[in-house]
Amino acid sequence: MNKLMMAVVAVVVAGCGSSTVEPYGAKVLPYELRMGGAQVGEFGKVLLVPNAIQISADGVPVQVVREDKTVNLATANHAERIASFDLPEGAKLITFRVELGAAGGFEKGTASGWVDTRGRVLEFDASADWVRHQRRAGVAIDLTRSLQWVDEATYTFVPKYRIF
Amino acid sequence: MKAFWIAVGCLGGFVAGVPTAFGHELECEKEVNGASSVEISQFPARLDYRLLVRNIHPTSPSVVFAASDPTLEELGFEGFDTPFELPVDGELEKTFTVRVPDLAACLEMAAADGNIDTVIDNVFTVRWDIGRDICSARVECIPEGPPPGPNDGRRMTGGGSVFTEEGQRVTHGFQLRCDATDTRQNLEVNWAGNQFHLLDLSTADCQDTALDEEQPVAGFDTFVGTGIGRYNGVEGATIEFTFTDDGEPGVDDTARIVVRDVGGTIVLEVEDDLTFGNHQAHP
Repeated sequence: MNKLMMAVVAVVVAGCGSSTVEPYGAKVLPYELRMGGAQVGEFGKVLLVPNAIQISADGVPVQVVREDKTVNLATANHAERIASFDLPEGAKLITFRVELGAAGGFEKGTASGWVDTRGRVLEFDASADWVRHQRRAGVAIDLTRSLQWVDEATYTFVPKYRIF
Repeated sequence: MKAFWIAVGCLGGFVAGVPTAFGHELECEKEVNGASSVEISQFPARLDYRLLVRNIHPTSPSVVFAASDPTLEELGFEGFDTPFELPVDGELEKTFTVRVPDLAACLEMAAADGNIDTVIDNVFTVRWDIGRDICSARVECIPEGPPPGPNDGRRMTGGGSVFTEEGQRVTHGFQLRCDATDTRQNLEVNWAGNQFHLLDLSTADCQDTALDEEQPVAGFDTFVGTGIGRYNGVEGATIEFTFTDDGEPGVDDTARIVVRDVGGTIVLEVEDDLTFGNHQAHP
């Protein structure tokens, strides 16, 4: 099994038993959108902030509850829930759009700095049947291929990701 | 492979009923001018794209159901004739060249990918029976710099996360030059689903204060600026900001940002140390 496949599977497995703790009573809708990392390499932390999340069913926006959080993609075997959403009956195609905040952060050995995520968007679609069946959609970001070294304190984010 | 199936078995409800054709496994690659990310400031420019689909399943051929890059296809890229099968270790590569006559054309391409910004970052998506891999390559359209000769080349780059007094997370990222007349300025601020994007830097004041920017020695450590930009897509918003560089790591760096909408109402006011990230002054 290749490493990416293992990583994606690990991310999904982690998603089964979510450890995300939400404030008591926080509203959660029936379906989840999760985000995690794969091919973490030597990164101790890779922090990204989803700033806006839009989900549409056949082109019509659905109700989304976004979770205001920083996601550490270098956390082994864990894909964090970044939103929950509802799906209308009869929907066919679900479109996801995650706009990232302008900057992320990283730690790698003794180095740390910022990740340039200005204007970065993760977009994909999935069949509604698939989402209903899994009760979630997930994004596994390949960190080794997505983070391009700029200087000792800077990486730029060129997203390469897999949907699970 | 056995370990993989054990892992899948542990997924329980998430994958129950998934077809057993999990055997297909593909990955994509996308490059422009031999890199994942390039900046172009000289026009006309040539963009050589390379798109690749690879079978990474260790023992089985994989069928590529779809492999598409809609933005390039709109520009004339013939695309991949799907479906097709790739043998073990097999891959298929296609190239496509885009000629960009000037900055306006570059910005037009950047807008055509669905995001109003200065970056062409359309994605290449490869699909197989139950999965997909998505790759991007970035082209940033940059105005030509000032003419050769003596000029203030100092700049500050960086970004990170700060919090308002109410606990709202704010992220910012920038590449700003101390010469406000230089058109190569970029600043973006995001918070709670909102976005400010700098369109024009009005003033810039690079100050050498008691802080220590450490390496590289830039001769300044504080960037104070004002500008106008787009707030949630509406032009006419303004920003005041102060970014400091107090060495590495960036935990002692600070950001002060005030954004006003087109009507002059303050929509963001924050001043804080960086929670993560870094500011870097450059000579």
